[in-house]
Amino acid sequence: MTDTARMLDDTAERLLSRHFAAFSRESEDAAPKLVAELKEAGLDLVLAPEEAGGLQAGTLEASAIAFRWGYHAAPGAMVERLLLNQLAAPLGLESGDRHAICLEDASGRDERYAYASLLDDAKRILVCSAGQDDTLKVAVFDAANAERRKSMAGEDVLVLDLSAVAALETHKLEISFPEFRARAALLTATAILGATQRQLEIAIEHVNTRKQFGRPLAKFQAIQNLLAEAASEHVVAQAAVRSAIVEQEAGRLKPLRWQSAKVQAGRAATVVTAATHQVLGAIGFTEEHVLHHYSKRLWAWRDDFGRQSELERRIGADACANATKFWPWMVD
Amino acid sequence: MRNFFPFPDFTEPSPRPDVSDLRGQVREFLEEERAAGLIVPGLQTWTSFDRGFSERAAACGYIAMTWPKRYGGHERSAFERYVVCEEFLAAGAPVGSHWMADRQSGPQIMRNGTETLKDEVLPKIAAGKLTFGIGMSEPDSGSDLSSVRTRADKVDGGWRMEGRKVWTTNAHHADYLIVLCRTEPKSEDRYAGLSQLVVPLDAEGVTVRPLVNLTGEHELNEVIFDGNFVPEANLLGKGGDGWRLVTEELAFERSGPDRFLSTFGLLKVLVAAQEGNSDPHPVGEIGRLVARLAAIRELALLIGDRLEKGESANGIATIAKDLGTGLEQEIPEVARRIMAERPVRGQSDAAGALAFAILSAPCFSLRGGTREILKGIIARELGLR
Repeated sequence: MTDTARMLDDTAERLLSRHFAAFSRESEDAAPKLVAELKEAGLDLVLAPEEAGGLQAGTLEASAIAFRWGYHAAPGAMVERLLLNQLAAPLGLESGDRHAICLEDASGRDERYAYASLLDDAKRILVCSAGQDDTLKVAVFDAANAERRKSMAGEDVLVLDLSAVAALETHKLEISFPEFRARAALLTATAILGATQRQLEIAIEHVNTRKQFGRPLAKFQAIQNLLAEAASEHVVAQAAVRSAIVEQEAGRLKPLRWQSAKVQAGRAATVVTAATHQVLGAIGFTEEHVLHHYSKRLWAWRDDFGRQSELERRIGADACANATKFWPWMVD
Repeated sequence: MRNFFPFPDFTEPSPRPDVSDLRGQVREFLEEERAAGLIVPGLQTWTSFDRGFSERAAACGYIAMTWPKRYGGHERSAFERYVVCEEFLAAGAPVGSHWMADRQSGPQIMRNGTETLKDEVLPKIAAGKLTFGIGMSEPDSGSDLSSVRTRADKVDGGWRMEGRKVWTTNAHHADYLIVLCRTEPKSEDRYAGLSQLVVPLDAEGVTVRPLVNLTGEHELNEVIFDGNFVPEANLLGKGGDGWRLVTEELAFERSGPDRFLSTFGLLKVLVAAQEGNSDPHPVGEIGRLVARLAAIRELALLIGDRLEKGESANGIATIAKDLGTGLEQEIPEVARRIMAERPVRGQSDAAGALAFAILSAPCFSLRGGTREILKGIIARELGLR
């Protein structure tokens, strides 16, 4: 298991660093090119069942790829692609290509709109929710009914008004919805931490080299404190995500664990982007610098596969519902 | 950036023993204490002194859990000790009589003490019968500990001590104080020549004077050393290497549940008060705090795993303390804004717990290393200093 994850991590890192040595993130065909390379290496099928030619691996293995994706601010919706390929074969599809995927917040407050990152030129949107016995229910919508917009990172997204259109068809899969939802959140959180890791590296390198008032920025205590705080947020989120992945692999993941991990990753995204932009100054606020590719993805991912404030509200509601045994609810 | 630990982590996770029985036993013990009126929820912290509580806890094997049996310990895992500690703190138990000795002083003596000293104090700590204090701060030495002026001069068979320590928790109850003092004159290297001595507080020449804190309680003290004698066997380490000993114990001191559960009693009150509230705003605020607590706890557990495997954890322990104490301080502020209560002192109810937490909060980011010192350490770990 862990050897596979290490191997995937190496492959993804090699593929992505080679790719970005040759191509810029800005070009129109950046995502298609990268996706082609990725498919050649089979990295998109990590979660796909074996009979569909996949690795049928778990969240840990997939997290290796999500992390590298974030670390390189790579274009294209990688977490979505991994998840789609897990569902493709059970849905009778050849692959997850040309689809879009999102989760419906069935048990929370009504979220009227479904937001789905566009893969290739998707024709169908898969909206996942909890069916009977918490199995995964997939409602298929025609992408033509959705509004096409741009994500924060400038990539295509579909916005579907769930109250206005009906599904073309629905499927019930023998996959646990809570586990699928947790996996989606944890992979997104891992991608966030790949990006915050790289942003912190960029910031640290910058303050150690750029001089003002005759000394490197890193020598100013105000700068040190700002980056210490940002790195601390990154580290606590890492701890939470790491342990949630371990628990999911062991089959004993509680909602609080993955929800809190995703919330912390979201908070890390907010604090790290703010601190990094602050220390890079105007240099980081133009498209000349690579920083914005990270920031924009981080700002979007905070609310992908588990909107940060919605998860906080759910944790709070669960905590209050368990008020009489609050501590055991937290730790048992 | 240097990684504080592998992430994503592809190594095999550390096996942790099943602790559900242990938790059950500890909760039963705590329930009996509560039923007997010996725990006052919301008005006690881990510095609250109750020797009786510690003796009863020791009788159940909840003190010195990881120590060797020959010193009265129970040879259990660090994880099991962690579990007992967090259960105690979550319940608001008065653990002040044994807390410092179990967390810090005992392990320090185990690592660096003489055999005479170990035999003299460790079994009594394990029995819950000894209280230790930490003698670091001085009137003119807060964050800059290398400037301590308390000194111990070599005399026949031991040391003679002169100086003053302040803000020493529970010194008026303590049997011993581990004192950081100068045993050699200050030189180029300001951290050299410091030593840690285990000082008996019943010795002639020691005076303990109360310092009343913001909650109106007497927990802090000033301790004056005026020629008191400290036996030779009470020196920790080789002498002159006190600074190394101090930094060694910091990862243990900074990553425990006492760095994020100090206002958990108030959080419990807050959660209970919102039961059935359908307003998403306060519920979301509580969720934000609970998510934070759950994540910081995972960080503490990860540090525990690393320490048990002998891996370094000073950097992450520093982060854990900074974030944990920040959360401890945020809880009363969120509670104040959500609860329909004014903070009023004197009762163990929501208003009383709120008042107590507000009045206690400033010290969370002072004791055990101020926030500013911690940030400096983190910055150094990041390669910024």
